[in-house]
Amino acid sequence: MWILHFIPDSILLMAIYGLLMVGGAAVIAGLFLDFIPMIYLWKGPLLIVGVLSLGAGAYFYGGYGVEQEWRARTAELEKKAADAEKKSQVVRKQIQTKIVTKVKIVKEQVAANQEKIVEHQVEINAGCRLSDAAVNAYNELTKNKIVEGVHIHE
Amino acid sequence: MNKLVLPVLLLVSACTTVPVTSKFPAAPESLLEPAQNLEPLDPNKRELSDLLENVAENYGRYHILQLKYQSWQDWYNQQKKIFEEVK
Repeated sequence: MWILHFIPDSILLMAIYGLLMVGGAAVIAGLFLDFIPMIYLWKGPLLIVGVLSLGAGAYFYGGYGVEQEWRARTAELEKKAADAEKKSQVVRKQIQTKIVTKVKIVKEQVAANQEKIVEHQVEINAGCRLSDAAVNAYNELTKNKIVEGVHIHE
Repeated sequence: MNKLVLPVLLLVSACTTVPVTSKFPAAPESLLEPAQNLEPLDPNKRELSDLLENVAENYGRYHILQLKYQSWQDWYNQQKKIFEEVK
């Protein structure tokens, strides 16, 4: 009950118990104390007010209970959400560290391999040079384009 | 019309809002970097060793992308597990 958010709990609970007590007292008075002339005169209105107060008190008491349950549930969910956020941060840092470490390894290996290639370039090249068509075809492949003007001889 | 006021007020007063919000988890910065294109071969470099050097560079880029792709999957699976615990 969002309307109950605006009233402090203690006042709310006192008001609800007050309504229940007033209602209960009015009903009891209307039913069992009608031998007193003053009450006998007001029996009808007293019973109506008593029943209405009891009804309203029961309604708000139920609403208050539900409100407390929801507040507890909200607090529980807030705690879980905060824990999840912390865990999520930890996972994020772990993955970030893992990526940085592994990317560094990949780059180091690429650099090492390139150095080895330069070191052994005479053996690798063996006097072989790439034609224009080969370079063009290769560059088209790097752009994921269809290679034009290259004929494969069988 | 007047008869509707009390039931409507009672119904509205019974509404409950649950003010729990959770932030969308942030992904690791490295996974948000744009992917690099493959490096073309310099047309002036005609040796096989130049080609191999370029291939090594491009394979390296592929391995980095593979690593990032696996990391996205890893991140997603772990975040999903964390999200499912909040119920």
